[in-house]
Amino acid sequence: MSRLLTRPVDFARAAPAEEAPLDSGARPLSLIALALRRPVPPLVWWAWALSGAVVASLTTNVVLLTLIAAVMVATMLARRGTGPWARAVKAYLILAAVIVIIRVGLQMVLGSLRSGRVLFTLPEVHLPAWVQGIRLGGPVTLDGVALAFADAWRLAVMIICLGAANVLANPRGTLRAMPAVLHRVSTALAIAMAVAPQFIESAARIRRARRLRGGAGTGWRSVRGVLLPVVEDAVDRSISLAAGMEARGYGAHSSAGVTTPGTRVWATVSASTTRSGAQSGRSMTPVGRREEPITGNRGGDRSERMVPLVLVAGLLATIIGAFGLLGLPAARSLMWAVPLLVVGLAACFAALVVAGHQTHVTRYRPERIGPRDVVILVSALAVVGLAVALSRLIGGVMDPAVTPVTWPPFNVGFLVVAGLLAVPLLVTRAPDEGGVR
Amino acid sequence: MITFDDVTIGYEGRAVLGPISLTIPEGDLCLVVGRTGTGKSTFLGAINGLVPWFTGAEMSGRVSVGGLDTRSHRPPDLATVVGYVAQNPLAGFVTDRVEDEIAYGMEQLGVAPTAMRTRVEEALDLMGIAPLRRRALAELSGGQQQRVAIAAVLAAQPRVLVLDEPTSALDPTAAHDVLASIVSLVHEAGLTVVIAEHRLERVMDVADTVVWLHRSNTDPGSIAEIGDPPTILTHADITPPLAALAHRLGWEKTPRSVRSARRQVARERIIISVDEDGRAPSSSPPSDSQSTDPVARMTGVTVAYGALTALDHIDLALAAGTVTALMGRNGSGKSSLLWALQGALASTGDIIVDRDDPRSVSAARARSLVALVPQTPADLLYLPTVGEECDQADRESDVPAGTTAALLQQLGLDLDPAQAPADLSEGQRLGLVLAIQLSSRPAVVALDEPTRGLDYTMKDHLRGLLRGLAVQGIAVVVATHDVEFVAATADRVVVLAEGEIVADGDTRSICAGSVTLSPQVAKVMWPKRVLTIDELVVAHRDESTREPGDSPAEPAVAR
Repeated sequence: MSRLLTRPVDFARAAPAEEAPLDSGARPLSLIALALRRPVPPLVWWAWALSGAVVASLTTNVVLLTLIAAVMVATMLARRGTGPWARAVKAYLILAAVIVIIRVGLQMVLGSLRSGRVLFTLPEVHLPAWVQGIRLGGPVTLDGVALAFADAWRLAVMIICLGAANVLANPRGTLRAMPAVLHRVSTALAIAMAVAPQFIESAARIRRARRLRGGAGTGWRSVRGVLLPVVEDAVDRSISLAAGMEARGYGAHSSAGVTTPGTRVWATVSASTTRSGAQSGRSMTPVGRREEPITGNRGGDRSERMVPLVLVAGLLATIIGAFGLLGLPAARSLMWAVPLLVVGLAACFAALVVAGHQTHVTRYRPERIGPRDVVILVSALAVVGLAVALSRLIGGVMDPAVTPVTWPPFNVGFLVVAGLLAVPLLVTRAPDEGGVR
Repeated sequence: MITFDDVTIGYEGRAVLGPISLTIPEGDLCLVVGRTGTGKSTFLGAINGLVPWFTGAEMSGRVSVGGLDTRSHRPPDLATVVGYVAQNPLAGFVTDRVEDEIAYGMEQLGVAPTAMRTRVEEALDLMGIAPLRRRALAELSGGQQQRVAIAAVLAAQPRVLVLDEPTSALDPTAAHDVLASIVSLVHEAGLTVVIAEHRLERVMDVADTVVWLHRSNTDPGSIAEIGDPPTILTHADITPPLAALAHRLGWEKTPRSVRSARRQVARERIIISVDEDGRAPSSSPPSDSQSTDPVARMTGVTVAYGALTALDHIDLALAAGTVTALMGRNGSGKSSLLWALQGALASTGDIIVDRDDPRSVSAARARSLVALVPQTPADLLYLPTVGEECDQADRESDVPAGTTAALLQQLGLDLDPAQAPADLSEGQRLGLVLAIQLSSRPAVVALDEPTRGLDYTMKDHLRGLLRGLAVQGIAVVVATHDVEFVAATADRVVVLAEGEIVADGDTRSICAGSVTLSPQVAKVMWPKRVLTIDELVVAHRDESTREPGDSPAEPAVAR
C-alpha cells in the first residue's frame, strides 16, 4: 500500500537536495568513490579522535603535540557537517588557548621553577609565615614557562581531540550507536537533547510575556514569575511526551515490572512537582493503577542474571589491565596486564551483545562499519601502538628533559604518527549538503 | 471495532464519564463532540488504555478495541492496534528528525529492520511527507508536524487511529490538508478513525458517526449519544454554523456540508434578504468623531528576526470602539504585529498609541496603552490562586484593590478566589488573563488566537465580551484563524501574507466574497452577502417542496 494516494503537500521549505537531478554530464561514481562518500559512523570518529588523545597523553614533546593538533584541526575543518554541533570548532580552540594561558600565567605568578634564563622579573610578594610554601611573583624564567607550556599544551591538545570527535560525530548518531542494552539510557539522553531547546524556547516566551504584566517586580518575585510557568510548561510537555511514548509501544516487550515504573515515576514526579504549591491535583494522579502481579520470570532468567555480573567483572579486568599496562613499569606488568585487558574487553563485549539480544528493541537503519571505516580504525590502533613503542624506545624524545630548556627534539616517527592520524582526511569526503546518510 | 461496555471513569471520586455503552463500527470516521470539560480527551484516552493505565483513574466497565480488553492490555501492547495522536504533536516527539520519529515506535516494538524500512517509506507516502524525511521536527510547520505525528503512529500499522483535536493549532489551509490525509486513511486504507474536534464545520461532512458527550441530570458523569451527524447535531448542545442555519430555517436535519445546504435552499426555493443591522448587536456604526481619529497608528513598521522579515513596512491605524480581526496563514506575521504594537517586540518604524510610543515608555505604561493577551494566556499566570493573581494585577495597574476581581465578575466569570489558575478550564483562564490585562484600562486590547480550544457557546460569550469592550471605546484587535468568529465579531478585517497587508476593509466586503475567508452561512447563501445567521431574513420560501424527513444528504435536483 505504498502508493495509496498522492496529494499535494506544502513544501514551502522542502530540502532541495531531495529532488536534485543527477548532473546529466556526470559519470557514475566508481564503487570506491561511493564508499569514500559514505559518512563515517560516529563511533569510528570517536575511536580515531581518542587515539589522538591517547598519543597526546603519552608525550610532552611540543613538536609532536603541535603536529597532532594540526591534523585534528585540519580534519575538523575539512570534514565537519552542517549540524549545530559542527559549529563548535572555535569554541574548542578557545578552550584550548584558555587552558594554556591560565597554566602559563599561574606558572609566572605562583610557579616554583625559577631557575634558568630569566625573561623578566615580577615584583615579589612576601607572604606571612603560615603560607610558607607559596611564593608570589619573582623571576620568570624560560625553563619555567617552557615546562608550563608543554604541560598545558598536552592537555589542550587532548581537549582539541575530544572536540574533534564532538564536531565530527553527530551526537544523536552517537547515542543511536550505543549498544542495545544501553537503550534506555540513550533514550533518556536523546529526549534531553530534544527537550533542552524547547525548554529554552518556553523560558524565552514566558520572560517576554512578563513584560505584558508590567515587568512585575524584582528579585525573587520576578524569578518566580518566570520559573513557575516554565516548570509547569516543562512538566506538561514531559507528561505528554511520556504518554506519547507509552502509546507508541515504549516498553511493550519487557515484563510488566521492568518498564512501566519508569514512565510512572516520571509522571508521578512531574505531577507532584506541579502541584507542590499545596493545591490539590487537577489531573495527574497516577496512583490508582491496578498493579499486575509479576508472576514468575521469563525464560533464560539464569543467563539474564549472569549478564550484569559478567559485565562488571569484565570492566574491572579492563581497568586493572589498563592500569598495569600504562601505569606500572613495563617489564613486570606486560605479562599479566595484556591478557587481563583482552579478557576484560572480550567479557564486556560479550555481555553487551547478550544483553542487547534480550532487550527486544530493534534499530532503524543502523550505522554499518564499512571497509573504509576499518581502515580508519586500524590506523587509529596503529597510531596508539606506534606511540607506545616510541615512548618505550626513545623515551627521551617523547618526553624531553625539562631543564635546561632546549629545542624539543624531532624524530621521523612523529611524521608517521601524524600521517596515520591524517588517514581520515584521505579516505573520507566532505559531507554533501543535506548529505546521504 | 471499539466497544464501551458500561464504562464509568472518574478522578478522585469525581465522575467524568459514564456510564457509557456504545460501539464504534469498523471503518468509520467517528467524530467525538461535546462542550469543553465533558471528557472528550478522557474518552479518547480510554480507547488505547492511557486512561486509566497512564493517567490513573477509577474506571469500571470494559473497553475493548479489536477484541482486546484495555484492562488486560497496557497502552504499549495496544500500539499495534490503536494509534494515538495527542493534541500538541511537538510535545510528543521523542526524536528530532522526521524519519527517526516514524521509526521510533517500531524500534520499541522490535520490528525487524527490513520490515521497518518498508513501513517507514509507506508511512511517509501515506501522509505525503516523503520529501521532509531528513528535516528536523522543530523546524516543520504545524501542519507538517501533525502529519509526521500521524505517520509515526501509522508505522506500527494500527487498525484504529485516535486523534485529539488534530487541527486546533492550524490555519484553515493546513487544517484542511491534515483532515484530507485523515479522510483518505479512512477511505483508502480502511482505518477506523476517532477524532475529537471543536470546529465541527471542518469535519462534519466526512464523519460517519458522531459521539456526543454531554452532562445529564441523572448520571454523575458525561453520557454519550451516538448516531449519524445530521440527527445528532440537530439537537446537540453544540451548534456548528450549519446546525444553527438548520434551526433558523426550521430544517429537521442539519445539512452535512455547504453543498447539501445550498441544494436544500434551492429545492425549497428559499429567498433571503440581508438585514445588515441585524448583525453584531453593538456594532453601532462608528459614527462620531471617535472613529476618525485613530487611537493607535503604525507607520512603516518592520520586524525582522535575523534574515526573516516578519513584518514588512506595515501601515495600520486602529480606531477606538472597533473590533479589528487580523487574519492570514500561520507565520504571516499576525502575532509579530500584535507584539510589535505592544512594544514588547523590537521593531523599526513609528508606533503611536494614545500619543505615546509603547516601545519607549515603561512596561507599566505600555501595558496601559496596549493590553495583550498572548496565545498561551497561562504564560502570564504565576501565582497559586486566582485571588492572588487579581490582587497582584491591582498592584501592577495601580488601581484600587478589587478592581480586577470586579472585572472578572463583569466578564461573567464567577471564579472561586482560592482556586488554582492551573485548574481552570481553557475559557476561564482566558477570561482571567483578560481581566488582569483590562485592569490597566488600556486604550487597545489585543488578543492572539483567543478562540483556540473554546467551544461554540464560549466563543459566543467571548464575542459578546469583545463587542462590549468596543462599546466602551476600546480598540480591540484579534489575531485569529476562525472565520466564523470573525464574521460574527469583527467590524474590520486585515489580511496579512508574508508580513504585508494584502487586504484591509470592513468584514462584509472582505469575508462575504472570499472562498477561504467566508463563513459557512455566506457560502450557503452566496451570492447574497450574508455574514451571520442573525441578519438572515427569509423573504420567501416554497413550502410545497418540503417533505418531512427529507434527507439533505440525498442528491437533490440541481438549482
